[in-house]
Amino acid sequence: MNTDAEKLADVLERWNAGALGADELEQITRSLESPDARKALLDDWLLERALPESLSKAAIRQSHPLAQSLETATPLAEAATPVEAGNVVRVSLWRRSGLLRTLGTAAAGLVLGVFSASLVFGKAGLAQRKVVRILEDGFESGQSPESRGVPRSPGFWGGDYAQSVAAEGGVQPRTGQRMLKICRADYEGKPAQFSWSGDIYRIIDLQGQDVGGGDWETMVTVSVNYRSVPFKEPGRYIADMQVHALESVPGPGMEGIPWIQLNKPGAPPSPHAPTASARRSMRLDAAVNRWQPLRVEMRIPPGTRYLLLSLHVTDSKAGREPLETGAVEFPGQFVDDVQVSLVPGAALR
Amino acid sequence: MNPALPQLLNDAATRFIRDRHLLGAFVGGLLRDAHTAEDVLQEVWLCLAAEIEKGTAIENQSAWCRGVARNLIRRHWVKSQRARTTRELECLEAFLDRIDRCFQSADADSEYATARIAALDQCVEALPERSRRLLALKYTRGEAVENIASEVGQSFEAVKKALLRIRAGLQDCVRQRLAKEEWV
Repeated sequence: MNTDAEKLADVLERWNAGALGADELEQITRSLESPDARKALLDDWLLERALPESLSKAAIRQSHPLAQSLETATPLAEAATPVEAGNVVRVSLWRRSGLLRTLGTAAAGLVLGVFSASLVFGKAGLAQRKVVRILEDGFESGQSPESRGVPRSPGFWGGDYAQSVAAEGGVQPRTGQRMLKICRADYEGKPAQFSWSGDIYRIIDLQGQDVGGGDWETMVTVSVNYRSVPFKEPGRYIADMQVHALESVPGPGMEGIPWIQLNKPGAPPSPHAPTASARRSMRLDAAVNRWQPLRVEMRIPPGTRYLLLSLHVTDSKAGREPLETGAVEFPGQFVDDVQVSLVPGAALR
Repeated sequence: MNPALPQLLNDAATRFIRDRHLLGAFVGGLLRDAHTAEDVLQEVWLCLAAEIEKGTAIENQSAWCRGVARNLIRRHWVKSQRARTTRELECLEAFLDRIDRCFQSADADSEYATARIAALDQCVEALPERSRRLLALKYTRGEAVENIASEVGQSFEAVKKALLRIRAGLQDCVRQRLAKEEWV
């Protein structure tokens, strides 16, 4: 990357983080007056976009020499074989033309995802296959989660102590005016033990949603953004997100039963055990003050009635040096802009 | 239903796939967030397919998709309060115009992206393992430079410089390969 492109990337990162004024934007616009500068930007952004896949292809070629024969000798326009309307295909590694060609012959739609399988391309009956957003929460209502452990019924956030807050500690909400602050790693009445993970949960009722069955399958995609105030030890705070598919939940009046814990190895089986789960985690940046996205996708098994979304921030240092009892208090770890979508599709297998 | 619709949609999808690198670069470059960029790309396709279903004739699909993406990005920025004042909005428009011009030059060349990416694949493969690892940590795993530094046991500055050097080297390599192909 040349220096100008590096400056531009920095400017745009700050712009997207809300830390840039009009003057700097004007300055960067002026710097792109010359055709050479514009060409350099085009090539640099193209390289940045293509790099993850080039790296992935190189890794595949090195670990599986035979994979070379599957690689990109065929131009994609040729590989996207004309198809009949009415079917759908999912192509996650869609730039590998061998795979694309194989799937393409049975296709009338494409699911494209460089970073995730999140994109549905229905070529016919488009409206029926549109992604359905079932939860979009920026904690703007100001209502804080119930700090009474894992909720037993749908429709609200619950878990450990957490608060809906406005800008705090130099951190601006990612969207809107508010965000969620993870305050402590315990909840009211939590059994005495040392806790170093702040957990927030929400049950989502899928009644009325088309979640497939038979030949149909549906994906759920969840995206959540995390951010931390600066801290000294890189890697100390870890953000984690899980989504679980459930056929039933305990319901109101069942408070006090640690029903999620029942699914741990060695524990008695729970009637509410997840039928599928997906998880993703990342370390929070210690010094770079920015929102960090986490995203996870999961196929929803037939018979699923609920999704359980669980968001966590862990103090790994406290986890390595636990006290006997008590709970970690978090200095400034935040969550914002939670989005959950259903991606209906067919032939996802 | 228009009997030609399946074919029209198929043609549009084929062009969209062909142009996806450039559109992805436009959206990803502006938003600097992979997930938001994917959402925008998805929305662009949905808009395009809906227009085609309505019977709209789209002359320059690349430019049309970029226009839709630009509107979606502008909306995202306004919604997330990145552009609040009239002046900020004006500066934003001028900036988006300029970025659009960067990409216009590739509209007429359907092989622009595919040729460069084919060259990039070869250049990446020729990199030493250590360089590929650094790039993967940064661009595949999306790690911050300071986390990479801690993982590979080097200073922040050393990792930052190494990443810049590797990227500059890749750009040179791509240019050389393209020049060589033109010569042949």
